[in-house]
Amino acid sequence: MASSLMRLVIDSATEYLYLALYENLQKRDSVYLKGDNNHSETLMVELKRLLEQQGVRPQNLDEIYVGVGPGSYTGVRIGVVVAKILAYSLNIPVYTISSLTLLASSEKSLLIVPYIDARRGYVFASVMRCQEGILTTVNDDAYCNFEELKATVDGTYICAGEPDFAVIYRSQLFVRVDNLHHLAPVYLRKTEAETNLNKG
Amino acid sequence: MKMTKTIYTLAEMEEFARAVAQTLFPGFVLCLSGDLGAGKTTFTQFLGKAMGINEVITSPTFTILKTYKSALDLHHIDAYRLEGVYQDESLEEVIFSHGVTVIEWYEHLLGSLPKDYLSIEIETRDSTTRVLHLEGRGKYGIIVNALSD
Repeated sequence: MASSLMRLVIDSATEYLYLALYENLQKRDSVYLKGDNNHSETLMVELKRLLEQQGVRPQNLDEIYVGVGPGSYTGVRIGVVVAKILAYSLNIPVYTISSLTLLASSEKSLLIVPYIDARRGYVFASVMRCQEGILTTVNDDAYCNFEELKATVDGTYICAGEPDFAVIYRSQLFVRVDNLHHLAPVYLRKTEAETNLNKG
Repeated sequence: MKMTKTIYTLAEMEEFARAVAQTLFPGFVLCLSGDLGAGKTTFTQFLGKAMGINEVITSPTFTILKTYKSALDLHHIDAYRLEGVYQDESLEEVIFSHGVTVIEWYEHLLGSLPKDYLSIEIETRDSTTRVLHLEGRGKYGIIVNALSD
């Protein structure tokens, strides 16, 4: 008989730190904590507490799911590096999830627009459809002007909300990482240098 | 909005920093310029003191960023070593955060500044005399106004 899978979900790309421990699709416990550019200080502390309270040792983990952005430039790297180190040292697989898709999974309305502030009037956003608990992508993750987006897409805009990993899993919105060393954050915003290069 | 103010002693510099501290709000960005020894770090020390920070404030030339915890956090950036960088995403997140950010050598980080900010250029006249050139962009205009009284 196949034993159950212990799954750790990590996302630190938004203002909130999200950690969840799932046994198959059953949530054992989770953390959804508002931060202030300080996920680097809280992630390991909260992770240790979460595992200890559930009597789970790192060696008991079978799979890791990590939000890879888009989102906070510094924040996303914290979650990705922790996922990478855990997966490498425990020799277990990592699966990536869009941080916007994680955000969308907190909402149940038909058309969902998860967005993350990217400063100067811009956001990272996608458009998702939710039907019978299954999320599908309508518009891929993008870096766009917030006013233009609001003028063109009529949906439920959300910038915070605790993700529901079971929805993500059922919707199959994750990708297995083949080579752990190639795992990197997704960052859609072009640097000024790239922008200038394209102008030239 | 621009304004020039001459100060003659270190005590006056502290008094001026206290006046600036009265105008701070979450997300405040202050850009400092001036030659080495003009008093950018000295001003920041006085500002920190006025914000209730008791730690010793030193210029983070090597570490680039140092954050001091307070009711409003003080983020002190020294971009001296960032010549030619123009923009830095991680520092930008600090600059756009809820604290107060003081940036020395902000000329090296123009691509990561908000549209509005207060700039102070400290011009050295003699060992203690300094001419302060203040410029308040956008919503910082009224602050320069307030400081000129």
